Amino acid sequence: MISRSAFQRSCVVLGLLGLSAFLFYIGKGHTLLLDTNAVTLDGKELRSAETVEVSIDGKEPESMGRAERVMVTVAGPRHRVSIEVVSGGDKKVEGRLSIPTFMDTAVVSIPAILGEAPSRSWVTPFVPPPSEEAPAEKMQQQEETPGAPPPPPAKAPAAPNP
Amino acid sequence: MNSKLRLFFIENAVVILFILLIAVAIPVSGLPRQFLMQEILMRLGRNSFLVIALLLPIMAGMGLNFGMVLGAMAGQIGLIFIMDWGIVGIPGVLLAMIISLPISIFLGWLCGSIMNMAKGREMVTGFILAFFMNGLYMMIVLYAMGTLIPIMNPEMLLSRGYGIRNVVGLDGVRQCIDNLIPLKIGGLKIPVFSYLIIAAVSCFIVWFRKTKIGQDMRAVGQDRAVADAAGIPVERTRIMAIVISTVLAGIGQVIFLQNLGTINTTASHEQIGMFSIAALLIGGASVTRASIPNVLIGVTLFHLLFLVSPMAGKNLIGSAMLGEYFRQFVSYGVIAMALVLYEWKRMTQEHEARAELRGGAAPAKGAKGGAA
Amino acid sequence: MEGIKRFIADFGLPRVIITFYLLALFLAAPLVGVSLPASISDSLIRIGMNGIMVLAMVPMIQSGCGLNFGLSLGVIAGLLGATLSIEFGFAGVLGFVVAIGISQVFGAVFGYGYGKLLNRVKGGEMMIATYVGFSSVMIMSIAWLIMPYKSPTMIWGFGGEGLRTTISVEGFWRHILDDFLAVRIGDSFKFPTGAILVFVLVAVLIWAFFHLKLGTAVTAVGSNATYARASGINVNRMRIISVMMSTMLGGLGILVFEQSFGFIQLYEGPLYMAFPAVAAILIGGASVNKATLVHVFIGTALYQGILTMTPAIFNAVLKVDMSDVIRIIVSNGMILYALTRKTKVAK
Repeated sequence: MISRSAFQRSCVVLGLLGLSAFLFYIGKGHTLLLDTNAVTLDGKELRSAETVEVSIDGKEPESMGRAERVMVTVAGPRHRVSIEVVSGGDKKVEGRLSIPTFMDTAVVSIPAILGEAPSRSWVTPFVPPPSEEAPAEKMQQQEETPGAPPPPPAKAPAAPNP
Repeated sequence: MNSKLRLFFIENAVVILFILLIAVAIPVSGLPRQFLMQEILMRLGRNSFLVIALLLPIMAGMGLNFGMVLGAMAGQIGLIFIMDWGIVGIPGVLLAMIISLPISIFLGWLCGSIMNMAKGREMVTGFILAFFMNGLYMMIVLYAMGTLIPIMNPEMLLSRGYGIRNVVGLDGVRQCIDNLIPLKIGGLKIPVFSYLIIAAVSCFIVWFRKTKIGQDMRAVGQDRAVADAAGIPVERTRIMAIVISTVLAGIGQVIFLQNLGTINTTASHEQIGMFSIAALLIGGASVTRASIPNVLIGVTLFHLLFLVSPMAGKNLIGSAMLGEYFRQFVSYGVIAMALVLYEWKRMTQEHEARAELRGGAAPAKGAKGGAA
Repeated sequence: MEGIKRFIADFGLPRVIITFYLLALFLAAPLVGVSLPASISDSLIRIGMNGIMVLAMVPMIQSGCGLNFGLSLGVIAGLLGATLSIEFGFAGVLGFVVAIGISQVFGAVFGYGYGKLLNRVKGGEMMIATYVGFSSVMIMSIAWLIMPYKSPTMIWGFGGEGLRTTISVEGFWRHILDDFLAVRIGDSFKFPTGAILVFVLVAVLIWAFFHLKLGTAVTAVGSNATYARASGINVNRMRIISVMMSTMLGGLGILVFEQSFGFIQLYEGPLYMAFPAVAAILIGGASVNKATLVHVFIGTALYQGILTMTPAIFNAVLKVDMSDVIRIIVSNGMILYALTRKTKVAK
């Protein structure tokens, strides 16, 4: 059978691993892009109002127009979102956002929340647009990357081990 | 009464000397007292943990643990990872510390084992080992990260595509421990939580000294041969002291860097051994004896000197570099002095022991001769 | 097979590995487009540059004072010699000789004090040497700032305070040894005859010293102090002599280094100069308490060879400059190995 101290040690290690996973979960930083652009869901087109004020987790509300994107950084998976229509309507919506842990940057669709669409459509992953760099920049990148992942460097120099 | 006072002065000569030195240097530097006090309050919170990491090896008779740098490296690696993964705030700092644990334990075990192979020369060995490990650390951080070790965030890499950048900003976790419990008294910001952590680890040290392992360590520190004869596993106890020291150094480095707000990948850890050791010695500790008050007094005095030297040098001679060199001279010099005192005392003790042996033999012979 | 195993055990596995590593580098050189003559020439120049500082390690190792991590004291003596020689306006061969002369005087004085200190701390010499060395560099840094030097080539321009950090010896005695009777073959090969000659000459002098009565006394102190004392040798005096020799050689060594390098490095320059010399002699086969001239030659050759070839080859093959990291790992690893070996000699 496992000795008592080996058992204790395994418990500690497992405990730490669990704690680490938990910390990762609640500590992961996300960049939220609050987006008031119109979205199409289930054939219906949802729009935002003329001016809305959006507040995440009770922080200072951001004033947003019809087709804007505002960046907010948060930590952890769950956040309160509070949207108040200031002009072009009269509505106040409160909801809870759930950000998948491994999604670094997420797009939060304000119209979707306003239009009371199902919550799973509120948050979508952010896909960076294909780069529109000038050809010169592109060539510079290409030159630098070939040296990038050569496995040998860490092994080749036989650093003597006594 | 007079002789007690004299004894007090001799025992604490270093501390008193430094207080005098700083008392003179502060007005010369012209720095405002408010500024100095705020800086000291902050630096106490930032640096004390690292200095506390040095206590156990001293207790175990292994001298000044220059190998604490290995723990600092582990802490930095932990921070690099959490920055890469985007973990922020207290969870980030905690996770960095947890990541540093296995690395610190391994490196501490390695350091302790190597020191055991060089008994009597632990300090030089630790000193050189720190440089050696620095080479390996740079190998990992500058070459393996981004290639063998996956780094998710390309912004952390050098422009060549692999290797961590020279300076890594710790934006997500900057000052998060310090600001956890904000407190302002008289316009001075006090990092309450940092102080709580230091209090906690101090209690840990005090408690540890009373445990069986702690007592074993003290015994080993007093006299290796006697401890061995008493059945204490000397080698293992010494390794344990170094492992705990390295782990504490790792955690301490995370606290330190969280306050600074940036990691200098290649340099942040290099001087930390020397600074911490110098601070401890300035606080009145010796190679064989150190306690918590030494830590706190030492950090205060060392950093006061740090702060006032450049300006004092500038005002005295017109060169800030002078103050800087003077400060470095003092740091190196105080370590040299502590080492000299230690070896000198040791030699005197051995000399006396040998003289006793010779002196003890004579009367016996005489008695024998007399009896016969 | 047994013979090979014993050879490896005696010679030390790390040294075998280092030798093979260096051989591999040399063999690879022509294959990757690195000029072999240039590499050999560079290695020879560096051997000439650094050899004497490695020699400086021998006296103290032999006398039982351990590895001289405090070589910086000797370096400082050399720096004083160099700067004072330039300050007094000497140039060329005379300038170099004056520099050497001044450095030896300072070296003797520093060495004497340093030796007396080390005698008080037998057993902990190495650590104390390191920090005494560091502290002296720092005091000298303050000194360089406030000493009343006047020579315009050495002080900061615009009426600044104190000496510059790096002082060029161009026009004074740059390459004075390297170029002396140098043998040049083609474009890329230069044999620095002067420097190598001086290195060998000093080495022979050291060898001669250790075969004299005084030298054997020093060695006796190192191998068994009690026995030496019983034989009537003044242990403390021998140790001081060895420290003085080491410091004076350090002074000479840095001057030879500077004539090849072309610059005098003040302030924090000397801080870590002991370490390469320590690593080199250990790589050559010395231990903490025994060193011979063979160790010096082999060690300097191997160490400088690695330092020259590694960046050349690595840059050519991988476009990566790992030479700094490799140097740190190899030199400190070697010192570590030496520190953790059981001393074979009884105390």
